[in-house]
Amino acid sequence: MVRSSSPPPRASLPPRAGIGLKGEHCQDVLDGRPDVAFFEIHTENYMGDGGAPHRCLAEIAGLYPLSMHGVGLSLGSADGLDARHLDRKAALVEAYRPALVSEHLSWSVAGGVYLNDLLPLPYTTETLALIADHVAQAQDRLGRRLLIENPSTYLRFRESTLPETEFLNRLCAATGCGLLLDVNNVYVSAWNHAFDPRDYLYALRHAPVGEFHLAGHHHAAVDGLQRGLRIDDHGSAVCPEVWDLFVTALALFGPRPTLIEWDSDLPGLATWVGEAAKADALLAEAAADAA
Amino acid sequence: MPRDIQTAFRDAVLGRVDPAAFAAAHLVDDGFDPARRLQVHRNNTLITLTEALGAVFPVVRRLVGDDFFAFAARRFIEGRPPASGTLIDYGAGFAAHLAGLDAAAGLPYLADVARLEWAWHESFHAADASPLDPARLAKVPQDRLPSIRLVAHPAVRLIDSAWPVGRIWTANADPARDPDPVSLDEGPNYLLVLRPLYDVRLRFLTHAEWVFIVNLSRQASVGGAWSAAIDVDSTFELSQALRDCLTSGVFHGVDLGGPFTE
Repeated sequence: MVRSSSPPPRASLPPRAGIGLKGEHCQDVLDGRPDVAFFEIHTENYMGDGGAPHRCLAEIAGLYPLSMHGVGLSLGSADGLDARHLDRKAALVEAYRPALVSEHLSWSVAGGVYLNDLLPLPYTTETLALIADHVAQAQDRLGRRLLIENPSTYLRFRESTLPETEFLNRLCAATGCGLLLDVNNVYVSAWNHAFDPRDYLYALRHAPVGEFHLAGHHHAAVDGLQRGLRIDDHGSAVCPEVWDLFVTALALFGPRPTLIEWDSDLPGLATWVGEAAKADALLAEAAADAA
Repeated sequence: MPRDIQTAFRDAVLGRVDPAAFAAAHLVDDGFDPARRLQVHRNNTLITLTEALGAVFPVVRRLVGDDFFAFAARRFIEGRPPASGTLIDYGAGFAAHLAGLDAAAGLPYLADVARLEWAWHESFHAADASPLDPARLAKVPQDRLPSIRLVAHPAVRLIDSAWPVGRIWTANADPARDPDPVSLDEGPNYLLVLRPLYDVRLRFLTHAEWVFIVNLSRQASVGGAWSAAIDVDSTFELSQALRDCLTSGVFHGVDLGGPFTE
C-alpha cells in the first residue's frame, strides 16, 4: 500500500520531560537554563524568513535538543499535501536538526481553505490508505520518521468502520511512523464519548510509542449533556485524572520523552518547568520499575 | 468520499451551510445533538483565528474593543479564511476588510492602522540581512551618484496615511512612552518600518523623505528618487537624506552600475 520504510531517527531524546518554547520565554530560558530535557516548538511559528524567532530558536538549539511539532501539514486532507508547506517544514528540519518530528492524525485543509483546527477523519480503510500515503510522502521528503499524534475528538462519523486505536496501529505498521501518544487527548476523547480511557491504551501496540504529550483542558458545561464536554485547550495545568492515566501509560509503554504542553493562558516559566519536574519524577519511577 | 465529507465539514465550520444537515448525514447521534458537537470545531476555528489576528493587530483591537474586534475578525475569517497552514501568512487582507466594513466607518483611520500593523508583522518575520556599509557609497564620485540604485533591506516597509496613524500606533502600543493624546488634526503621517537587526522600529519621515525612499525601494536611481522628492519639497537635501538612510539601515545593497576608478 505504501512505498517507503521508515528513515532512521536522528539523535534520540532521553525519556525525560520537556516543555514548549514560546517567544516570550526565550530570554528567560537563555538566562536561566532550566533543567528540562528538550524544547518543543510549533513548526509553523518558525516559517517566517528571519528575525527574532529564528535567532531565539538557533540559540536554544545550541543548548537543548528540539522537537518539531507541526500543526498545519494536514496529513488527512483528501486534497493531498501542500508541497510548499512541506518544503518549508523540510527546510526547518534541515536547519535545526530536531530530535523528534511530529504531526497529527487529522486534517485542516479542504479546497484551499485552512481551518486552524485539528479536524477528525472518519476511520475507514479508504482514509487509512489516504493518510498512510501522505505520511509516507512526508517521511520521504523530510528524510525522517514522523510521530503521529492521536487527536482529541468531540464527534464520531457514521462512516467509521475501524476504532481509532486500530486505525493508528495500522498506520504505524504501514508507514513505519511512530505514535505520539497524547494522554490528555485520550482522556478528553474518552470523556466526550463515554468510554474508559484505559481501554484505549490497552488497544495500542507498544513499540511505535515514541513520545507522550500531557496538557490541561477545559471542562465545559453544556445544556443537554449533563457530564459536559472536555475541550482540549492547553490552557491550564495537567489535571489529576490525566496524571493518573499517564502512570497507566508509563506502566504499559515504558518511559518515553514527555512534553508538557501549554498554548493559552501561558504560565510563568517556573510553573511550566515545575510541571515538567512532576512528569520527570513519574518517568524516573517508571524507569526504576522497569529495571 | 473523504473529499466530499471534508468539503461539507469545512462549509459547516465556516457557517456556509446548516451544520444540522451535515450532522444528520455524517455524525453519530449518541443522545447529544451531534450538530452541537460539530459546533466545538466551529468555535475552535473562529476563536483561534481571531486570537491569531488579535496578536498581529493589537492596536486595532485596542481601538475598537474586544467585542467589535471579534465581530470584524469573524466576518473576515468567514469571508477570507486562511489559504495555508502557515498562519504567519494570514491577515494581509484584514486592512482592506476593515476599510470596507460599514460598521467601522466611524473610524476612518482604522484601516491604515491595520496596514501599519501588518507592515510591522511582515518586518518582524522578514529575512535577515546586513545593512549596507556606508563605506561602499563613500567611494562613488559625486557625478556618478545620481545613476546608482540601492536595494532596500528586506525588513523595510513604507506606509503613508492621511491620518496620524503612526502617533495613534505609538500612543496605543506603548501608552507609557507616548502618553500625549492624539488629535486627528495632526495631519498625515509618512512612516518607515525597519528592522536592521532583530527589533522592529518605527520612524516618522517628512513627505519628501518618504517619497525618496519609496522611489529607491522601487528600484529608481538615486537621481530619479531625488527629483521625485524635490517635487514634493524643493528644499530636500540629498546628502543628508542618504546619510540618514545609511545610518538607520534602510538599505541592504547597492548597484553601482559598473566599476569606478578612483
